Amino acid sequence: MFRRLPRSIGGLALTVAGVSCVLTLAVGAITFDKVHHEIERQLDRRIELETASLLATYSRTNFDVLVSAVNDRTQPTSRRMIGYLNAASEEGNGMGYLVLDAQGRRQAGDFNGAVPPPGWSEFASFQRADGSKGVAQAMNSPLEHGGRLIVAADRGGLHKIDRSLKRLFQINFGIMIAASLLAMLLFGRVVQRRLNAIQTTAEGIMGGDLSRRMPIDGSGGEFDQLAQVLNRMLDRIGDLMGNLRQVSGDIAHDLRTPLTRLRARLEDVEAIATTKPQREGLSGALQEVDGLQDLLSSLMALSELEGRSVRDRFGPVALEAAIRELAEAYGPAFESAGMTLDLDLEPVEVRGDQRLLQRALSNLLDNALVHAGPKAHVEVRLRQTAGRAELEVADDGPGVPPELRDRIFKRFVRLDAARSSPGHGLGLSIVSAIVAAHDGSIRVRPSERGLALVVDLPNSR
Amino acid sequence: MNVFLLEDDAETADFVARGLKERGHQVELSTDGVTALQRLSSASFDVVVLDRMVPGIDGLSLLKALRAAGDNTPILMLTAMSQIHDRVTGLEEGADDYLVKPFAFSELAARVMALGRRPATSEPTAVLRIADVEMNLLRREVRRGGRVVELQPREFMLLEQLMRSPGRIVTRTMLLDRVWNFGFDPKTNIVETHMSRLRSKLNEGFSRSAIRTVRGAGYMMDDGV
Repeated sequence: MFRRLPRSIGGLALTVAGVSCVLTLAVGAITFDKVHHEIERQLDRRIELETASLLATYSRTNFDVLVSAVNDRTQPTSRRMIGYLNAASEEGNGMGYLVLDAQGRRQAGDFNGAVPPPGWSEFASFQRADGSKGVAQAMNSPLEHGGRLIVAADRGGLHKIDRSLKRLFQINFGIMIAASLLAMLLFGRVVQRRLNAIQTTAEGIMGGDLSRRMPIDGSGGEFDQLAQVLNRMLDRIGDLMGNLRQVSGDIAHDLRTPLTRLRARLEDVEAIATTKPQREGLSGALQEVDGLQDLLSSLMALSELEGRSVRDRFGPVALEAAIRELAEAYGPAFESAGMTLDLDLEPVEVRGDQRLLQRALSNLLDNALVHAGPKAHVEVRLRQTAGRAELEVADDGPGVPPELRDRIFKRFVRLDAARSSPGHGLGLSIVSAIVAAHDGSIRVRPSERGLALVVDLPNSR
Repeated sequence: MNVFLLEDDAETADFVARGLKERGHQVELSTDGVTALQRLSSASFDVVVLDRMVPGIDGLSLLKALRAAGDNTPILMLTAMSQIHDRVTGLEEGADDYLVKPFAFSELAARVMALGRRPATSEPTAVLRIADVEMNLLRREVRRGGRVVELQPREFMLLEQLMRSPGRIVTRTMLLDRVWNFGFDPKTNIVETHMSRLRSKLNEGFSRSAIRTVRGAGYMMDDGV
């Protein structure tokens, strides 16, 4: 059955408010019914007692004594008689009497209305002393030697009580609804606030800042407990990732010394090499060492980019000028490869690290130089769009088949199966890591020919 | 030149020391930071080569200590780390140059030479002259054999680096650091392509190339034939 319960805070709050309304309504209706019936019963009881008392008087004495007893009862109470009665009793006691003789003539009593039929009447109309119309409960009893005694009780009091009860209930219900809605609102806000804090932190962590932790307000409540558990989990993940980074950093670092020695030995041997094949072989081996060093540098750069520390040096970067500077450096290389490099730049400022951003673009240009092929045309575009900087590097070379486009940002992925072209397949991974460190994204723009890579960066505010 | 070398890996240290001695320098070697600090504060050297990760006091702290003590000896930092900001922190702390392991010995030798020959006080020079090439730094003008050669700003900077080190090898990475200073090494050979443009402009109408390529090492300009 719990499966049907709403899953959202709003839904839950509405359900609880609805259920408490229904319960309040039910309690109110039952209370009203019970009170109404009890008062009605008491009216009946009073009529019965009065009738019994008067009939007893009558049976002990005669008709005249009954008449005078009724007259006594209908006489307005005098203050002088009973000094401590308050003014309210002057309104009358709400009882009405009528004594009829055997011929049906009224002999005594103040009940001003049609004679009710014999027995109980629930709704007998009459006119009060002040002229207002009323409805009474009445009992019409026969007298022993002809004639009738009618004792009635005004239902006006009952109506008044009913009205008061209803008013009381309305106020009660209103307060109830207001209070429960307010409670739900506050409850919802507390929950929402804590959940939002957790969500913001989680997003920050996903953005690469593993040092962030869920906020704890010291209340020791459920949210604090949850936050503590999450924080312990984050500590653990942080430790594991730290270890991983440390290990890959250590491996890369520890490989440097043997590589340095290897390079030194190769250079030593190269210095004394006598034949051309010897020299060529050694020079090839040295190139391999340099390739390995390059690979290690890239791996270490990746591991550093995935950490957070690179952000410490972020500042405003005039992206357009940074691109121009790099493109100027690449100009002759494109020319000597028979390719053209065109710039179409708008001035855009972003927050970041100029060297890293230039390194990313340099990797993209290196890529174009290697893969776009001779006579290719490469265009670098920079646009400012709605708080974002959009950098596009597009070439008209052979491009990348659509089914492989997702793979190009993965590490060590090289699309030429023979792996004959230079590089280690980390270039675009580094671009992607640099862009991610800047809270940006990179994607392949579908184009008819060539490869178009679009880097999207948040604008500096 | 009198070179001090701090390097804890014996084999690398031996290789570097041997190489420098072969080129006619004197080399004093130390394998830990504490003795290095003692030696450096008592004796003076033309160039100091510091490995960043050594036992005792590490290279960076040693560098800071020397600079704080007012020692202005040219310092070349050697490091096994080439992480993105290591280069920057080394230079920020007052290192004059920076080289990442593993390095080619020719690269180290060229940089040590460049540091050792640097004038202690940089006198403002208006005109540089090597053979028939003349560079006027104030007018930003280059002439070869009296004829003006039109150069792009970067080509001018490249030529200036070479002309400031007459008779010495300037490596490709030194030029990359000094002319562009990107802080990373592009895969594309930027220096080579710019150099070939510069050369073709300088050499137009001359039979002798103004800039010599030293195979596997770098470039050089000299007065020789």
